Amino acid sequence: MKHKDMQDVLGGLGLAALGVFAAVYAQRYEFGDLNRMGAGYFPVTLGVLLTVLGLMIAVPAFFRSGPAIQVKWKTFALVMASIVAFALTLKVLGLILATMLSVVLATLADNDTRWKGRLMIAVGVAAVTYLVFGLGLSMILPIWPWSP
Amino acid sequence: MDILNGLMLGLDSALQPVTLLYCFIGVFLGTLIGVLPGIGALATISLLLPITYHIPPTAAIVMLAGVYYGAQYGGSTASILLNLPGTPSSAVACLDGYPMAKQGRAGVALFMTTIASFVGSMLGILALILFSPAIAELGLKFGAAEYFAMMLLGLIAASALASGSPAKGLSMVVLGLLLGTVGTDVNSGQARFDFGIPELMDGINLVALAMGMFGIAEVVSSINQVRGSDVKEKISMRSMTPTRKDVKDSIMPMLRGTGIGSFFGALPGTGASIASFMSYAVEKKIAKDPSRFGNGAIEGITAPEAANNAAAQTAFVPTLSLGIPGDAVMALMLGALIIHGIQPGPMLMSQQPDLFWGLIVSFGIGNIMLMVLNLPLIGMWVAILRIPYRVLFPAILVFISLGVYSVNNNTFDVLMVAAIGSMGYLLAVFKFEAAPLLLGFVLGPLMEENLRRALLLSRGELSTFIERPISAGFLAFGAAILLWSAWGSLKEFMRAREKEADAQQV
Repeated sequence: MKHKDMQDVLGGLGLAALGVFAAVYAQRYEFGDLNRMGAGYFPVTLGVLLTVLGLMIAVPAFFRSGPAIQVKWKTFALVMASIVAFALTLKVLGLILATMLSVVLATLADNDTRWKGRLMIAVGVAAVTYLVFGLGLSMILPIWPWSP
Repeated sequence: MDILNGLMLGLDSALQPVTLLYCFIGVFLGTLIGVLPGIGALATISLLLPITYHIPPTAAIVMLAGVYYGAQYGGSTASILLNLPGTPSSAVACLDGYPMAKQGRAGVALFMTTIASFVGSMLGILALILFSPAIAELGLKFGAAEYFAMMLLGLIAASALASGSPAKGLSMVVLGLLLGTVGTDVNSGQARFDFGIPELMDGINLVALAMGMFGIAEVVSSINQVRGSDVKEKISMRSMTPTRKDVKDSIMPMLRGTGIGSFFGALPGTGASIASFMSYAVEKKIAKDPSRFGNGAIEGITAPEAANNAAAQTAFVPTLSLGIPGDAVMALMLGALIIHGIQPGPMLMSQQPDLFWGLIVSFGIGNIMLMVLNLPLIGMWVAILRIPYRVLFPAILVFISLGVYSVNNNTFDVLMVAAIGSMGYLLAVFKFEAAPLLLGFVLGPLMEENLRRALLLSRGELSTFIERPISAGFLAFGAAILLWSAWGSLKEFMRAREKEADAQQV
């Protein structure tokens, strides 16, 4: 047994930890009894249940081998960066520039896109979002940094 | 109201120009995203949810439903031409569709899958019309205990039948239920798991959850994936003409597929994917010459396509008649109804007959539109398969962000998508399925409410769930599924241990 089934070990332990957290955190809400459940009854029960299930997944997995975990860190980080950048800059830079920034970050994740293509996609997507969301659905959005 | 009157009313509401327009938009988008691998119905419906705030409820649901069943049509196109399923439920169409394309019969395959899809859908709609009113009537007799038991059964079925281990599926349901408790508790007014963040008082935004779980994880795993080679075939109307034998060989498989699909579609927890695999297996089993399968047997594409389309229609049976979603897409549909202030459940049919019947009639209209979209215009969809993903995904990401933003006009929800997306990707890495989670999330608040009410009525006696026959039936069925799947995974575990022991001895 060289590789444990790390997918299930880590996933199960993570869920169990989440379950413990929920069950402990929800102690601050009134628990009540079966007749009159308080706000805490359901969450605490679910937390315990999640802990049990998480352990049921993790423990047997520890005794068997499984596929190695593959994480596309770079892709994942850039996709997250793209969304977070959009969220943080939308109100400051406006729709067009925030979209372009977000697209540039996202396309960095693709191995085949060069800078020329990247900028073309950025301009294209910005134009489409402006047409669809700005003009088409007339959402209330700042379009440019200097827009009110 | 009898069925005929209902259909007349439905025709009236479905033929409104606004409804027709949104129906068309829905099935058009559905075909489009069905054709494109890397974006599915679930992600698209989550993307469209914010838009539905601005349109009338019937039109909104008609559009979202159109995306769902439209995707079933489009899905097989990529399977046949690229050996790459456009949607999970059309994975089976690769097995015989791609060999057909290699034999130069791509046109016939595309034509016959569209016909099979149409037949399956139309008969599925018939089943929906015939069974929904009766089931809704039964549902009217349900009390809180029955509702709780039924939702529990649905969640157990969804998690046990999800691919992978049942424990993983169940854990996802529980996590979903837990996420559903975030926000203000309806009974006590207590804010739960809000961590002092005012935005969390209203709970986690369904749109943010769905997009984070499905959109983001899907995009991350599709980037840099090698897509099949380019589509070379030119599909002309002439190349699509099937032979007399093709048609003759498909009639019975299509009907069997429809039957299998209608059944699995209506059952909570199972759906189009399982239905299409089942019907393929059945055709192979009863075929005189099973070796033809995998080498371009026409039944190998027509039966599963009829099955998954029928399932896509009958999936609406529990959703519309009982308010119980059978899968994640249906959970989103319910979410959309609730957004519009419509309480789904057995009362829906009597209280909102124009919505209920309008939706059903629109399915028929939508399927006719899909025939037109898929037969003469197939060339357009084939051309769309040539758009590279590296151009598409940045646009998808921006649409996700903007879509979530537009729900409440706040950027907190967009950051929430990033957070949920991280969790969704982590779950995908560990091979946990997100669909049961979404189901749990939507059903969570309803379950808690019904559980509390049932126990309040019974003065805290848990036996109420067993003393009431319908509720007891649901629970027994759920327990049977649990035992059966636990037994299955135990056997698998033992087998894996034995294999490993053997390997070590050698």
